[in-house]
Amino acid sequence: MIDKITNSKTNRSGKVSNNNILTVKLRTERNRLAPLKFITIIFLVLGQVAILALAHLFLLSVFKWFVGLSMILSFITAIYILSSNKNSGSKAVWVLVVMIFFLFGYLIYFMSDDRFSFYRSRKRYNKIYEESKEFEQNADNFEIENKQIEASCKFLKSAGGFDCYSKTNLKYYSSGTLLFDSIIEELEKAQQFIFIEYYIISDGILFSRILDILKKKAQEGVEIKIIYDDLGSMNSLSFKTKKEMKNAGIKFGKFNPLVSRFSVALNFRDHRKIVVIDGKVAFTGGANLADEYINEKRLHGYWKDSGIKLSGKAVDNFTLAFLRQWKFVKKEDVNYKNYFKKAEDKNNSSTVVPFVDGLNFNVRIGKGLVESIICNATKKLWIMTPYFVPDDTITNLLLQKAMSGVDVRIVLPEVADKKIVYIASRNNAEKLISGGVKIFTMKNSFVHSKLVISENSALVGSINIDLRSFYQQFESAVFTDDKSVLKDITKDFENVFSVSTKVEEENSQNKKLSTRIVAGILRIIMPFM
Amino acid sequence: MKKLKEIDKNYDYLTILVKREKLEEVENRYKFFSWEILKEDEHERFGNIVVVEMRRIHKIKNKDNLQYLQVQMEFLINREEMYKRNKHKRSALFGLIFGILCAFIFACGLVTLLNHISTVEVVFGIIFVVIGLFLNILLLFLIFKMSREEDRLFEENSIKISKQLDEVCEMAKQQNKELQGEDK
Repeated sequence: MIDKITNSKTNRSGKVSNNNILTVKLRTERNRLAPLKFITIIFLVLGQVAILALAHLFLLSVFKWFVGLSMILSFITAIYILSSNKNSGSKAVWVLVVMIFFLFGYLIYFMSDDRFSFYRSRKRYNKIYEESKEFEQNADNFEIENKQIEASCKFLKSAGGFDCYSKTNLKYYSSGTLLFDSIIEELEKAQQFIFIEYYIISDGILFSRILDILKKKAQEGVEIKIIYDDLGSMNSLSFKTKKEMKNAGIKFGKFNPLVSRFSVALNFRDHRKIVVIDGKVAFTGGANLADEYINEKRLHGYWKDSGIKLSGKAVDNFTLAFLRQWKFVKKEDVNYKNYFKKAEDKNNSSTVVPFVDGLNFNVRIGKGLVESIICNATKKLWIMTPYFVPDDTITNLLLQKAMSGVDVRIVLPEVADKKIVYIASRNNAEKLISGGVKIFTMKNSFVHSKLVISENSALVGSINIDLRSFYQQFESAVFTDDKSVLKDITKDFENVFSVSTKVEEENSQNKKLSTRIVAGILRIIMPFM
Repeated sequence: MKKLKEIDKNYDYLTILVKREKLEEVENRYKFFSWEILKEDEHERFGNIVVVEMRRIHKIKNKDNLQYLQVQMEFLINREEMYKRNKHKRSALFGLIFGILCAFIFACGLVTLLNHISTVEVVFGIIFVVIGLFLNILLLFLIFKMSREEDRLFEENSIKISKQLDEVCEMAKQQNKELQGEDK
């Protein structure tokens, strides 16, 4: 109930004085049992790793030829890595690890490669995707007016089967507060079904507001399904709330449950943020279902987030993505037919593609689309992201665009939520300043919006510009050329610029020695982040 | 903090912990952001802390801007206290490091003087004692100067922060006025 307070001294009244609080501090609730669960799992997993390591060392000591075999296997693994589709930075680091730790490096590599650790899940996903393939074809055939985004739309169709829609209305929200007010408003109108998929669902005032509506809707006979990520929601969603949901008839499932079993697959998380209501309205964005996202709880200064609402046929893409994920999580049959073609045509000719990304796809969709937007930008390219850990391709593309006269700007937070990642992000961004990229940090704020906008298109969703989002997480986003959305996002960016500090090249060079050392180490391990 | 089941969901609630001596000022500042004070409680453990519970109508226009400004205000209020706490940090650190150094020189001289065998050691001992004493006096003077400079800087920063705080609150007030105007 109360934030941890130390550094206290007794005063005359017998009570102690607290000197940890400066002048004012917001009081927030915490789930005290969750860290215990997390620590237990970590210990059990580490125990298993230790047993594996000991068994391996035993083999090495008993069978001398095992050393020779390990060397050969490491060499073969290094060749295998070099010929793989991984990005060049990642390849270099992996080869280094495998060759230096030749006695067990190849084991670490194969255990962490998603082709092995995600093999069974991928097979299940493929089956689910195959049997629901007919529902991918929902959009009417239409000519994309904006030829500049045609290639990106084709990419989304061929890479993930995501149809391109028109006749769908879009509304951009420049904060979590506005986004969730709209979500609550729409939830109250629900009549048939509500699908909710979030990385973090947290007990608190926001979820309490939503849960009240969900319980009422469940009583009215509305079908409610919720997916949450077990890691993301571990610290925040209590057993009591889950029981409340169950009693109210709300179905829910957790993605990739945290179990006390060593598996690299535990690292693959569902980072999507999707709400679908009656197949008519859908939402996605950066904000999770927790109080800090609407600034009711203060964790890292002002929380800047964003989201987008779709109303129209394009919602079907998110409905399908949710149902597929539901089937994967719950392993129960889904009658897809009941959930599509519910929305009416809207008077909007803009192009919109709602899409999701995940490890089940052969192509990295989010990364591919970001690259495509960067390539197509000719005048401006503005990015807002909490974490900036791109690979060489995106780094070089951004530099090339800035050097060709495109107005490239990146907005990062000024307050860090994860210090190490923040140092890496700042370091990566500041390297681009010399090429003409303008870097901004929003004052006293944590920027959690994930936005990419060029003069002809925009990407709004849950995709961070980092390797975790590109390679290890399940994401959701909307790609569009809707003029009103582009205008609103541009206005939002301009508002953010006005309360941001521009990072100058000379300032970026005057860093503390410790920061430079950390940044140097991070540069090496970045491909793993 | 109110329990979730007890609250009226037409309102947003905020519970803050405030230093007693700043209570009135902080409460007045929060009022600019449409917060209404519900109750003030003694902190269960800390005598210098007051727990203030506030509420505000949930659906207000410009809420984003108000939230952003409120965070700026909270940062500024806390920064003022941080400046106050660290007011003499530099001079204290300077005094500590060079004080030890000067005391060491003085002690070296004194030890040499007390255990002297030759005349050279007496001379060196006296030189060290004199230098040590001189440096200690100089240090006291420098610390005094630094401390006055720090006081001046603190005053300047306090005025600056106070001005910024007033600006932020004024902006919030303007937004509230706009809201009230729109409501009418």
